[in-house]
Amino acid sequence: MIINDFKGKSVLVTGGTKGLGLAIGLAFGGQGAHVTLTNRWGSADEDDINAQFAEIGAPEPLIMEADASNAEDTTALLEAIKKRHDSIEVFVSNVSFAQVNKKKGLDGLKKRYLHKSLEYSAWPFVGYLQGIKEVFGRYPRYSLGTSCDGPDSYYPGYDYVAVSKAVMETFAKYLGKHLWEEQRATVNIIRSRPVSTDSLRATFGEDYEPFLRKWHSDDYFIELEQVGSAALALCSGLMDAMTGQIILLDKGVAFSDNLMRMFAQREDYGL
Amino acid sequence: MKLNDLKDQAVVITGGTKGIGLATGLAFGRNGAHCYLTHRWSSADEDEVRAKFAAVGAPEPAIVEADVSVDDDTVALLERVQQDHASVFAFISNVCAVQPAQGVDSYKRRSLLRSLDYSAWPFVAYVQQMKKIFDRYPRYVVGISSDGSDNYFAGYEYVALSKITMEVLCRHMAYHLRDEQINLNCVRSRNALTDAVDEIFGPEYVEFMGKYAGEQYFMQPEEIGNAALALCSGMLDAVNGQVIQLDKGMAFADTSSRYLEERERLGL
Repeated sequence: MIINDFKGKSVLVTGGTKGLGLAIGLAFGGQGAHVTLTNRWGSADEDDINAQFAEIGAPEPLIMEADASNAEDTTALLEAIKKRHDSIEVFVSNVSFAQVNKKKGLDGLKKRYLHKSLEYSAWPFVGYLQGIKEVFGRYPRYSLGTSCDGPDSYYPGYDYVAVSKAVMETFAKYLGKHLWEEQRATVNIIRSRPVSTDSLRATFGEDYEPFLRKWHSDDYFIELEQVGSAALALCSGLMDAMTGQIILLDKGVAFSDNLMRMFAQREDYGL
Repeated sequence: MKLNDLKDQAVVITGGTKGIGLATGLAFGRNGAHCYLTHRWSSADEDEVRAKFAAVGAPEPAIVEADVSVDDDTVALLERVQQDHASVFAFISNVCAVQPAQGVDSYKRRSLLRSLDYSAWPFVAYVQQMKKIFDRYPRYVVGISSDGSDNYFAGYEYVALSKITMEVLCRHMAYHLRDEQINLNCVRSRNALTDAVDEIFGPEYVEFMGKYAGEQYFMQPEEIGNAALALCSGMLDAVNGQVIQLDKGMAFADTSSRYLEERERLGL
């Protein structure tokens, strides 16, 4: 099957040194792309990441510290990429850093937390695209934001994440219109249901995953590689008529993630 | 990332000799798949279809007359597939045959049921028959849909109703078949530039829409075929029971506010 040739093309993934971001970076690296991965606070184990890229025969990635909410960091990052590339083929906005609403009720909500969450998890999608346009003179051919189905489904303490993702998704619709009209570039969102990552455990606690595996199935969780390959599909050339859209990775689970399903399968579960 | 190898895999496409169905067949054929294209009423120019496959280096397709609403036709088609293949790799449910509606007084229960028989139920019936005949489900099922259930298109009631029925069935089937090796999804497009558009909306439609909304208002059949291929490529195996929309951002921005913004350029 022939898809776009990524050999030597520049791919930028924010929050790319762990979890979803890293999986997406590896998917493009496997196709020969020059991948730049950002991280914060020296949180990346560079040797480990380089080894993962080397193992699949991918070019060594550029790993850079950059705070997604800091415009100077963004500019410095893009200037570094510009030394090797005239344009960015794919931009993946993956960083998400939102407060968890630990009190789980209205009392826990604070405007300050909302602002911070938006600043780190929604605005960088726009901020980076503006920066890329400024530095390279054009937008990336493909832009992707990673999201989740939090705006439509309840997850405990997920208020700020859900709001940030909903804001990013709505921006994607507008950006989809503008970037299509300006240069036929596409902007889409990958919504992934829960993936077993450190960030999942940090957000929902250690009990979450075993509970869902018990009362749902292993299918409840999406594999990291599936997120990477879906990102590649959206940039493969096969889906160029799709822009401003949200694609959900959930193995069909969200539709039936309710009490009715447990009722229907109550004998299996001994309920 | 290892993409699925389509070489010599059986792909069944209903309504596969024209428009979106044909473009989808060519997308799979280009990658070595063996396509079975159905049509009705001897409506296919078989030589022309074969020439198009040959031109992209695709294996010669099987062109089969089969009415999607007639079980015997479905069985005969699948038994023919079985002569050369142990299973169906991908099933593309594309046929849509409905009557235009003309206002509330024209609504007829019979028209609705006939539309569903031709344009929604085959999504189920073909999958059921495939399971019976091959003793396994196809690896991928893609329903070709449209966004008529969310947006107004003139006279489009029965299409919209058929497509949304297919989409809801798709979600439920994905649940029921959750333990099988199968992905079922729908591709929603709008205004694909095919003969069917002229037939449904009349000859002035394309010109009018092109004038006010530009070429992005329309999808090329190839773009839809490519997206169906992507859903069966192995890259999107976590996508199941979903509806993905191909519209170049148009549905979102096809509003009076947008035409207000551009009124001077458009002379409105």
